[in-house]
Parts: sequence; structure tokens; C-alpha cells
Amino acid sequence: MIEQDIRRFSDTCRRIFGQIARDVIGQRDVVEGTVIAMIAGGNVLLEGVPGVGKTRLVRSLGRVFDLPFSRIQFTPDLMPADVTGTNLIVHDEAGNAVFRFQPGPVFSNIVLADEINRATPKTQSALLEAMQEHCVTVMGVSRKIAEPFFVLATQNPIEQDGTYPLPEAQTDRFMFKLIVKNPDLAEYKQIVGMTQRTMDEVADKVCTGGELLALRRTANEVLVAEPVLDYALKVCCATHAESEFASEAAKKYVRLGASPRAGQALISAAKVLALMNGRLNVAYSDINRLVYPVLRHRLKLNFEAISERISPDDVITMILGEFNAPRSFAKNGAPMSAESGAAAPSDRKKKSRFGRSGK
Amino acid sequence: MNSRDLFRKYRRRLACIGAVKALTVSAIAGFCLAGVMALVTWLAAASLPVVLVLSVGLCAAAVAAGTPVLYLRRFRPTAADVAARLDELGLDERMITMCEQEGSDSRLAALQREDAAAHLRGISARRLRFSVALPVLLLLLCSFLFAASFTTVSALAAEGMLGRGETAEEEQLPDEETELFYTVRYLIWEEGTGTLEGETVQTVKKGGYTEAVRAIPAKGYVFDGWRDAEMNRIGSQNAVRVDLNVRGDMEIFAWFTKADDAGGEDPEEPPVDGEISGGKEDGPDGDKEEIPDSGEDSDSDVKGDESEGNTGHGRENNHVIDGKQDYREEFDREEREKELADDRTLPDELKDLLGDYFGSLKP
Repeated sequence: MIEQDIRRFSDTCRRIFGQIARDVIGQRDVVEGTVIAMIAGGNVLLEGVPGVGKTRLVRSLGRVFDLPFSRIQFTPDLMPADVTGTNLIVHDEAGNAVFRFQPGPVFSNIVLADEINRATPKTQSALLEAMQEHCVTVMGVSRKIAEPFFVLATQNPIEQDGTYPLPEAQTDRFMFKLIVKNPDLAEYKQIVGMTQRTMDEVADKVCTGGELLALRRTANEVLVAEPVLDYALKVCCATHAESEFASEAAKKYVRLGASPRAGQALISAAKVLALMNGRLNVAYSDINRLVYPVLRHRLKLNFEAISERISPDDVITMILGEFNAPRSFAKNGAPMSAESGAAAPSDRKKKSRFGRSGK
Repeated sequence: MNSRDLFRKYRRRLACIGAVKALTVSAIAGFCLAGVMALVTWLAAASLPVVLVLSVGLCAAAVAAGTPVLYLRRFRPTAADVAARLDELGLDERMITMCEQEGSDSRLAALQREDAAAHLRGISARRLRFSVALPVLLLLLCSFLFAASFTTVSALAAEGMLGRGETAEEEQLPDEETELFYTVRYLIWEEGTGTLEGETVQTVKKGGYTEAVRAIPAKGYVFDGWRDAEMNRIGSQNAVRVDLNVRGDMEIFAWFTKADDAGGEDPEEPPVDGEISGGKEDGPDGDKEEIPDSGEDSDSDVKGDESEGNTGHGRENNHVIDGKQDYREEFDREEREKELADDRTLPDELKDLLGDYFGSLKP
């Protein structure tokens, strides 16, 4: 049974990437990160300038997973009820006026929260419960959202006027923050060529929501050795200036470190990545490749970092450097291609001050 | 197949590497110990067997005892160590996961073990390389050189081929602290019989020489030689005295006699005034030298004087021409200068010294 699940997992993942590649040119790391997060059950915050394919990616994912997809364009006048839904007064068959709940767009399997930072904090927070507990409470009545449920939010890193940066509580509920970069020239050429024929997504269905949940269960079985788990958690702890494992970079630049959700997300995603790479155990390289998208939106930097133009990715690089972790993998644009998953031996050769590896 | 069987050849390889590491570390400690002991034995001027036992023996003992202890306590590879090292060869933590899940009977753990074993098959034990950090190599080299050099020095010192530590220490002191100085006093035996010209109390370095002192008789007296405190004549009886190769404190008395008594007092009367003292004669300490001159010359002079009956009144009459000035000294000085210039046995340095001396006597 297990063997079949593992085979199915690998086969499904391969087909998912193949179908998405029909709609989204390039952005391999973003696509893989998004798929990993979806299998692991996490939400994704996509950050990129307009026109780089964020919405198209989400729509394509909806097609591939054959899941209902709803899009919410966040604006300053968007109200929480516009997201969650509201009770309407309707007349029943007996002619009595009764409240009837009208579900909002959040009641979907895949929710695209476009330009999420343009809505007011009140509206942004309407997503909190849905993202974490996968349910919505309106007028004292909690309603479960159908599984699988994902929020894929986008935000524009420029044009910050009139925006409301996401509060820490909100950003912490995103498993990954992925940076969507501009395509290179070859990808650009392919994009233009493809969209001359049609603007519609053409990806075919690969699996259903139920199969996606099965993939998640399979991934959860992946083994994590104690030293690897320790390493992942110590990396998270190293972002806290007051921690016993605090890195020098964190002491200098970090105002607020990663929450325990970061550790959960890191391990869950690493399991998926390991299985994608045909491994039944998590490796240090999996942790190292996922630590950027997991941690970059969870680190709140202090004034010194901002004044020195130090980014969260720079701080993560410094932290990994203190762990003697490799610095060669992609800093921006996140992790995760299957090929680059084969970590260099230097990934594991070093013995860190935290006793990451043996002698 | 469990991890013990799976890791056997790799474990053997890592055990060898661990043993070499233990040997390296204990060798560093042994060399350091040997060097220190060699240094101690050198300073303590120990004999050769002691040097060898304490230096070489302790080094060997440290290596022999330290290697197994270090191996067992520090470098013996456990299964987890072997797994971690194997994972470093590109196995993506399959081995440490397999070791952890060895007791698990879940299907996934079994699959993981199969996966790990399959990946391990392609890994040769030779890929587990022994590497020594450069600082460790340098430390080993330095400690060896330290031990070898001090053991050699200590052994050579024990054999007398090199100075001992304590001797060497003494030799390193500045000359001012080790040089000996002696006091030479020139005195008149009986006050009023004459005077001394020159420094009468001189401090002379060991082996050095004094400045010239001249005995000048008072009116009615003649110089009758130099004597020690026990009235023994010392050196030639020249009125001008320079003591060479001083090796002890000395008190030298100028002896004057009345002019009338001078001739008949001592049948072995020394040479006349103005003659330079010469030849090696023992001073008060028995190892004094005076102005170098051949004793034969001095003796011949004395004999010559005696043969000519040039003593007492006769001697004075022969040299006091105008009744006031004694020209004997002037005459003898010129003679000695001439002899000195012709003497090829004397070193040039001494000739220069004597030349300066004679020059100082010229009016």
C-alpha cells in the first residue's frame, strides 16, 4: 500500500508540474513552492510586481487540482462580510423572514486574495480564522470550509501608498512567502509567443481534492531523523535574539523572530520536498532549501537592518552561514527544484557549533 | 540486513582512521612531554640514561598509553558516527534515519531501510578518506622538532659535548658581572727612605697588568729592590715596576737602604736601579709575572754587574758622573730599548707596551 502511495505521489507531482508548465512559463521555484505548500496544507503569499503571472499561476493550479477557485480583489473599501459572507433576511416557504447565510468567496478550495495589502486590517483579519482553522464564524455560527483549502495571496512590493502592510499575525499564517521575479528573455519570448495564441489556461486536471489530501497524508509519513529535526528547529530558534541558539545576525538585526509555526511549516514542507525527490527521509538539504520561503516573512527586522538595507534574506543567509550551511542555493525566488534538491556534499560536511553533523 | 552488517566495512575503515587520529594526538602529547622533560634534564644536568628514560621513554609511554585511551574515549566510531560519515558522501541523511528507525516495524521504515541500503551499495569504503587538518599537522611537526632538538641537546650535554644548562646560563651573564679584579698595592717599607711615583693602589683585572710605579730613593738612600710582606725579594730589582698577569691581591714593598750600606748588605744584590724587571717569577701569589724579559737576560745583567764589581759604592761611583745625577738608569734604559727591539721572541703587542713604557721614561 505504502509503495503504491509513494509511486502515486511521485507520478502525480510529475504530472502536476508538467501541466502547470503549459500555462506558466518559467517561475519554476515559485511553481514548486506553491505546489509543495498546497500538498503540505499551507497558504502562500506571492510577492511580485504586476504582470509576472501570479494570478495565472493560481488559476492554473485550480485547473490542475480540479478545485473550485475564487478570486477576491482586495481594495480599501472591501468589507469583512465581502470575504466571509453574511446573513441575509429571506422568506422561507412559510413566508417567515429568516436569516440565511450567504457564503462569501472564502468558501472555496482555492482563494486568490489579490493585492491583499490594499484592504484594511479589519478585512485582512477576516481571513485569519479561515487560513488557520479552515472555518468561518459569522454571527456566532462557525462554518467549516471544504478541504482542501488554500489561500494564495498576492501583494505588490512597490506602490505602497494607501496599502496596509500585513500584521505579523497574518503573515505568520502563510507557510511560504515566494518572490515572483520577472522572467528572463527566453521565458519572456515564450510567454509572448504563447499568449498570441490564447490567453486562457490550458492545463488539464491531474488530481482531485481528495487525491491531494491523500498526497498530504503520504507526505506526512516521511521520516525525519532526530539530528535533522534538531537542525531545522535550531535554525528557527536562531532567529530569536534572546534564544540560546541566537545567531549573531539575529542579535544585530532581528526585532522579532520566527514563531513555532515556522518550525511546523519547515518540517511539513521538507517532507513533501523529500518525497518529491524520491526520498523517504528528510535531509539537511531539504531544510536549507526551504528556510528562505518559510522564514523571510516571519522575520521583523529592526531599524539597524533597515538603515543598512539588510533584507530578511540577507539575515537568513547570515544565520545559515553561522550554521556552516551552504550559501550556494538560490537566495531570492525561494527553493526547490527537484534537480537542485540533490544537495552538494558540502551541505552536510560541515559540523556546526550546534553539532549538526557527526564527527 | 541491519545497520551493523551494513556498516561493517565502513566501520572497519573508520576504526582505522580513528586509530590514526588517536595516534596523531597522542604523538603530539608525547612529543611535547618529551621536549619538556629533555629541557628539564638539560637544566638539571642529568646523566644520559636519565635523559633517555625521561625524554624518550616518557614519550613512548605517552603514545602507547594515550593512543588506546583516546581511541576508546574519543575516536572509536559508533554506528551513528558511521551513518553520519556515510551521509556526508551524498546519501542525504538516509543512513542516520535508517539507524534511528532500526527498531521500527512500520512499512515505511522498512522501505526507507531498503532505500538506504540500495544507495549504500554504490559507496566504496575508500571514499571515507582520512584527512588531517593543516594546524594538526603543523602541531605534530612542531612538537616533534621540539622534542627531538631538546632531547639531542640534553643528550649531548650529558655526554659533555655541549654545555650544561646551568653552565650555559652562567656563560650568558655579562662580562662585568663575571670578571675578577684584584688590588695591587705598592708601599714603602720604611717611611722617609724614599717615595713612589705613580698609582700606588691599583685595581687590575684578572690576568691584566699594572701601571708602572717608580721607586725614588730619598737623599742618602738607594733603591734596593722590591719585596713582599715577608721580606722576600720578588721579581727583578728594577726601580720601575710593572706587574703582569695579575692573579691575586698583592702588596709589594719598595726597599731602600742607606747609600753607604747598599753595597755590602746582600751578596745576592739585585740588578741596579733602572734595570727593567724581567723574566717569570712568582709574586706573592706565586703566579705573578713582571715586565716580560728573559730571565737569562736579567741574570746575565746581574752577573755582569757582579763580575764588574758594580755594587755598593763602586756601582754608584760608576754612574754618578757629576756627583748629583745618577746616569745609570738612563744608560740602562737605552740598552734595554735596544735589546728589546732586537728581541724577536716577544710578541708585537708586548713590544708596543714596553715601547710605550720606555717612551714614558724619557724626559
